[in-house]
Amino acid sequence: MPDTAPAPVTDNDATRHGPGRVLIAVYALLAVASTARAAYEVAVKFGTAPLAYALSAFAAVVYVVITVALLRSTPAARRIAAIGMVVELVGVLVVGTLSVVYPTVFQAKSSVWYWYGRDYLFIPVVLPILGLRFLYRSRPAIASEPVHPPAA
Amino acid sequence: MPTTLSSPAWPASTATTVVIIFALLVAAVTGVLALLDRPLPRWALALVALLEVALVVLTIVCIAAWIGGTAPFEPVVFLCYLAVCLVAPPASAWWGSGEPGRWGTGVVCLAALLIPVLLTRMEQVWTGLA
Repeated sequence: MPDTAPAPVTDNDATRHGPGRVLIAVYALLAVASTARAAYEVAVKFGTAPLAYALSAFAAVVYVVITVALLRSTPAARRIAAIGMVVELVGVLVVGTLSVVYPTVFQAKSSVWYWYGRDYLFIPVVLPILGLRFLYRSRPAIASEPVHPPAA
Repeated sequence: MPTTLSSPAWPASTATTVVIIFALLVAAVTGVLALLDRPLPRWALALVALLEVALVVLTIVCIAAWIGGTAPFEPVVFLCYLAVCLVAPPASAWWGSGEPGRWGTGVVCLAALLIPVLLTRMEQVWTGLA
C-alpha cells in the first residue's frame, strides 16, 4: 500500500523550486540588507532612537529566519517560514502605520518597515503576501490529510 | 579637483552610466527569456559575466579615487553596497542556473534590476547628497 511509502524526495525541497526560487533570492537580499542596516544602526547610533533601531534588528532576525526556513524546506521549516511571514506582514503593517501616524517617533526612518517599506520599493509589504500564497499553493499532501479518503 | 564642493565628488559617473545601461539591457533580455519560460542560455550567462567585469572596473575607479584622496561620505555604508553589488550578479547566475525555466531566469533579471538601484545609493552615500 502506498500510504507507508516515504514522501517523495521532491517534497523535501519544494520551496527551493518554482516561484520559491525567486522568493528565496528576494528574502536573502532583504535578510542581508536588513541585517547590515540593523548592525550599523545599533553599533553607531542606537542611543538616538532605541525603539526604532530595536525594531530594525527584529526585522532583520525575521528575514534571516524566513530565508533559512525556505532553504531548508522541511515540513517544520515550512511552518516556521509561514509564521515568519505572518510576523513580517503584521510587523510591516503595524510599524508602517505607526510611522505614518506618529512620524516623530520614527523620525530616524529606521527599519525596513518604515512607511510600509517605502525605501525598499514597498517590497516588505508585498513579499509576505506572495510568500504565504506560494506556501499555500505548494503545500504538500500531509499525513493528517489523506490524499485518498478512506472509502465508507 | 572639486575642492569648491563640501561633499566629495562621485568619481565613477561615466562608469555608473555605462553599467546602469548595460544592467538594464541584461534585465530586459533575461526578463523576456523569463516570460518565455526559457532556461538561461550560455550567452546570457556571458552577459552577466560582462556585467560583473564592468562592476569590477567601476570598483577600481572608486578605490583609485579613494586612495587618491577623495574619501566617500559614508565609507562603511558605501562598502556594504559595493559588496552586495559585486556579489549579486554571480550569485544570481549560480542560484538561477539551478532552476531551468521562468523562475531561475527571473532571479537573474531581478539581480540585474537591483544593480541600478544599488549604484544610485552608492553615489548618494559617496557624495552625502541623498
